[in-house]
Amino acid sequence: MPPELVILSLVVVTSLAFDFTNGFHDTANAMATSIATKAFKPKTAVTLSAILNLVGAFLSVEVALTVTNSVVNIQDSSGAPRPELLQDGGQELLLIVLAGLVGAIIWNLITWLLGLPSSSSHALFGGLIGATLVGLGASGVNWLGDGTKPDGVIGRVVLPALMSPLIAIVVATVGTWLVHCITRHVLARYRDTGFRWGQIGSASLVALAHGTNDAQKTMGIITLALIASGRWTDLQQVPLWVKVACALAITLGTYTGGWRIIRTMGKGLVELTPPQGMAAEFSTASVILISSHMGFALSTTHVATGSILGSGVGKKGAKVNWWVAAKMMAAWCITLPSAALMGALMWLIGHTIGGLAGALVISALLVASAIWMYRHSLRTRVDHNNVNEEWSDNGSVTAPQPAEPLPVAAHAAAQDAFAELEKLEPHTELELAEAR
Amino acid sequence: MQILAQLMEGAGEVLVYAVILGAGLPALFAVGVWALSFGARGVDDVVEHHPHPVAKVFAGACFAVVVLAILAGIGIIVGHGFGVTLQFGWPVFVAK
Repeated sequence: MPPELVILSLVVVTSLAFDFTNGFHDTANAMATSIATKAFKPKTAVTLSAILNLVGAFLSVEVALTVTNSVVNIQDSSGAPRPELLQDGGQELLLIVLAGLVGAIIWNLITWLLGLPSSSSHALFGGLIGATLVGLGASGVNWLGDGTKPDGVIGRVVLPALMSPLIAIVVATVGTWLVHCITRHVLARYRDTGFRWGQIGSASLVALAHGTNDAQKTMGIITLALIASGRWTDLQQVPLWVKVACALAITLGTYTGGWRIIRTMGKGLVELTPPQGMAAEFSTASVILISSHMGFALSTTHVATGSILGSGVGKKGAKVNWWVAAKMMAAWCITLPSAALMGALMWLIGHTIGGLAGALVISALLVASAIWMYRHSLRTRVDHNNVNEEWSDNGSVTAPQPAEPLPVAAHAAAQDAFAELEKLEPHTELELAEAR
Repeated sequence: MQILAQLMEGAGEVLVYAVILGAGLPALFAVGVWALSFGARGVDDVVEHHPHPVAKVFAGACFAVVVLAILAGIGIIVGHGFGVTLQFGWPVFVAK
């Protein structure tokens, strides 16, 4: 197998792995409130969310191949990769993309381990920015666009990230306040049943919108890699297998459920009642749909968290856990720079070693750190059985844990990872020793 | 600066529409729930409560509006993927 084909395969597999982490990181956005208020059983919620993500992924007929353009300059405006990056079967571009993806996944896993809902798109963009910054210099990064419309790192990522949670907090506060005024005299029994039904519709909307937005990004990136290595030429279309693979990866990720994050969002911030849950979800759905209709891309994670906070502010007597909220906001602020740091580091390692070996080493680093974090997560398991346990101040699960078999998907993923490691052994003894 | 102004303007617009829909629809739903339980207030041991027919129709109308809004949301998402946009009127979908 020629070396550039191996690197290309690594990029494809890593993209799909990112899609998987994107799925489980964001299950919480649509479903955390419905799980917390018991509108859905936990397993039903992730299943529904997974199905809607799958449908959503196939709904996006027009996939933008210019995903990376909003933050870095490795493609031109038609979506074609920059010609100066295309020597040796596009290896230079492939290494930037691979390093960016590895950085993004590692950051996604760290925040998952800590149970923090950070934005997957910020992680992806951060990783790409970091790898580009060291690979091509500061001019390789699209900081502001051409200055005529909101674009670039500042206009498309940083400023919207500051605004979106604020908008969501206001909307959810107003909604929750109204709902509680209106149903003040309604018996809790009628109120809770009614609003649980209402949650189903809004949660489904968020899950569907997520599938259409997020699966697209990886489809665009894989296609970019294929074009760069000369294996695809059509700038208008994404290969069908790419579409299917990305849709399945995000679906599987969603189904696996990032239970730690679901727990933080559903139980950690506010003790949610069904009316609050419904107000929060309508707020999330409306902010996301309206802004994407108007051409602004907001992070679902930031909007969803803002809505949950707002539902706590809007209900008289509800307690908002501001300490958890502050930790979460800190995670949002550092997601972009941290993923950028990881991406930059990965590019430096890959570039220093060079060529195929470099790409193999950073992939092995990813696998090793993923396994380490997965094993670490087993010490404090959070899954569909204990996701709704009472929240204690340190966020840990209070009830003793029954020994449970691993979820099938996670188990298979771990096995694959081990198989991958064995294949890579000659290159990675050193890295493995370090990782241990 | 120009970008900041544009973003603020966009954010303002999103905020206005989002408050109308994102807070208005749950409120409307709440009105429906309130109508259905009207008359059962304050009596905790009511085993079965039969809403007044007028209340039923009224609540039904409230829920219908919320359901229509959710369908419109799905329409926007689907339309987005197929390169069409949703409008209020006929035809519902028009090419961008």
